[in-house]
Amino acid sequence: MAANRFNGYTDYGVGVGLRIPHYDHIFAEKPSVGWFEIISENYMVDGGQPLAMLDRILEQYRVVQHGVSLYFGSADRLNQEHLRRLKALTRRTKTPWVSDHLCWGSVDGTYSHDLLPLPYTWEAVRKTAANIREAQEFLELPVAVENVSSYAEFHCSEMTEWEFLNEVAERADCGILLDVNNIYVSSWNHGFDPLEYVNAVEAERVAQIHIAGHSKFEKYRLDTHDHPVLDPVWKLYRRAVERCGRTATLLEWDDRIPSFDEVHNEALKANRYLPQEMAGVSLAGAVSDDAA
Amino acid sequence: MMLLELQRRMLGDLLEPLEGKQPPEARAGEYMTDSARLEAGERLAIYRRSYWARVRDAVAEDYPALRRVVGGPRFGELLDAYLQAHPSRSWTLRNLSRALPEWLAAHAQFAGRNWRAAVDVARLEWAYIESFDAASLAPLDAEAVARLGPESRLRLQPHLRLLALESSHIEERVLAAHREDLSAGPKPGAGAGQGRIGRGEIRRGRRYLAVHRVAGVVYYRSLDAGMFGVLRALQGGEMEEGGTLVEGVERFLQSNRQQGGVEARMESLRETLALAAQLGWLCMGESLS
Repeated sequence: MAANRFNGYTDYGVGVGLRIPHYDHIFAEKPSVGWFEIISENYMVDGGQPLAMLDRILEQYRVVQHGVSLYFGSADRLNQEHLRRLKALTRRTKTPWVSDHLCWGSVDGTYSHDLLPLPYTWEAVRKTAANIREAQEFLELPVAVENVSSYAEFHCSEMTEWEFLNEVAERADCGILLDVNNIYVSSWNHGFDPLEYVNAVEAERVAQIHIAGHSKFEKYRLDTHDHPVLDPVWKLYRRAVERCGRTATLLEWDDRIPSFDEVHNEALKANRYLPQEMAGVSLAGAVSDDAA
Repeated sequence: MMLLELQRRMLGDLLEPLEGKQPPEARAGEYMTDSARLEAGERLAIYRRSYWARVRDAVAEDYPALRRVVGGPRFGELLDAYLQAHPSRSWTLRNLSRALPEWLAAHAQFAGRNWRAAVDVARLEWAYIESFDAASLAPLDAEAVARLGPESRLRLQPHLRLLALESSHIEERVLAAHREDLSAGPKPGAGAGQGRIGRGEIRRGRRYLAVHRVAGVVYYRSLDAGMFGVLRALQGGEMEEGGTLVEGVERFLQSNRQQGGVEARMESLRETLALAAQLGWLCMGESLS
C-alpha cells in the first residue's frame, strides 16, 4: 500500500536529512543510507559549492526534495520563479516526489519565511488545493503536503485540521507527508487527541512520514528538530505505519546537529516499527512501547 | 474573516518591531483564539519572536565583518532598522541581505564614525555571497582567446564581482571575520566577541577588487585602476547576454578618455585580457544553462 502513486511507487525505507555538517563524513565514509532528503531551496541556486556537493551526493545516493517556501496556502499566486527553479532542480535530482507544507507564509509579495498556520475554512481548502494542483501540473511530479506544527488557531476555522488536510489532499489529488511529530506538537498546543488525527488521515494518500524531536516549554511544545524522537511520537509513528504500511520515513534533525552516526542511528529506530521489506509479513505493531 | 484579510493582518502583526510601542499581541484575540494554556496574544508572540529571530540571524550571518566594524549593540539596531525598511520580498532568505549595502550607504546614522568603511565592508560581504553560488561558465582556453575577433561575443564569469572601494585593505579583516565565525560555530554571531575592527585599523584609499570563485572557494584579488576600468567596461550592461569584444573596447576607451593616451590604454586592455584569460574569467557570451 505504501509504494503508491504519490511517491512514484517507490519503497525507499528510512532516510536522513542531508545537512552540511555531515558532508565530510558522508564523502569519506560512504555510509549505507536508504535515501537523503534535501531542502530544495538550499540548492535552487545558479552554481557553486551547494550544487557541486549535491552532485557528489547524487552520484551515490537517492535524493528526495522537500521544500519550505512554496506556501500552498498563501492567498497569493504561487511564485513562478520559485516553481521554475524547483522544476530545474527536480530534473537534476530525479526526485520521485516533491513535498512542501500545508501552510502559508507570504502575502502581497512579502515573506515571513515561516510555516504559518491556515484557518481551516472552505475558502482556504479551495485556494490551497488549487495551488497544489498548479504546482503538481507544472512540476510533472507527485506533490505531497506536510501538516505543520502550529501554535495558533483562528476564530474563522470551520473544521478540524485533519478534516482540512483530507479535503485539500482529495481536491488537489495529492499525496500527504504525514509528520507525526508535528501532530503531537499541535495536539499538545491545541488540546486534541493526536491518535484521532492519525486515525483520520487518508492512509492511501500518505507518500512519506516525518519523525523528529521537539522541545517542551511550560505552556507549549515547540517543533525544534534538535532532539531525538520522543516516546509519544514513536507511538504515533507506530500507529501511522499500522495504517499506512511500509512508508518512506525520514528523521529531521536541523539544530544542534550531532554526528552523522547519531542521527542515522536515531532514524534507523523506525525500522522497529516499519513492516520489513523482504519478510512479506507485517511486523507493525509487534514492538512493545519499551522498544522506543 | 477572508483568507487574504487574515493573512495581511497576521503578517502585518509579525512584522511589527519587537520593541514597538503598541504590541499587536493586545489585539490578536480579534482573529486568533485562546487555548487552554495560552491566550491569543501569547500565541501570536511565539510567531513574532520566531520571525524576528529568523530574519535577524539570516542577515547577521551574511555580515560578520560589518558587525565587527559597527559593534554589537549598534549592529542590532542596524539590523532592525534595515529589516523594517526591507522585509523579505523573495522566496529565499538568501536574498534578504541584498539591499543592505545600498541602504547603509544612505543611512550613515546606523554605522557611526566608521560609516564609509562599514559600507565598503558590506559591499564586499555581499559580493562574497553572490560569488559563492553564482553560475559558472566554461572559460575560454588559450586557443579560443587567440581566435577572438572584434565580433566575438564575450562575457565575464557570472561569479566575478568588481568593486571600487574607498577603504584600503579591508579584505583581510573581512576574511578573518568569516574565518572566526566559521570556527566559532554555526550560530550567526558566534564569533562576535572576537576581533572588533577598530577605526584605526581602516585606512582611506581607493582600492579595486575582484571577487571570484575558484574550485568552489571565493577569493579576492586586487586590481589596478586600469584593469578595473577594462573589466568594468567589458562587464558593462551586457552581463546577461554578452557583448562583442569591440563593444567592450569602445566602452573602455570612452570611459577612460582622461587617463593616458590610446597606446597606454590599449596596453592596459591587452594586459587585462591576458590576466582575465589566465584566471578563467573570459567566457563566450552564451546563455546560462
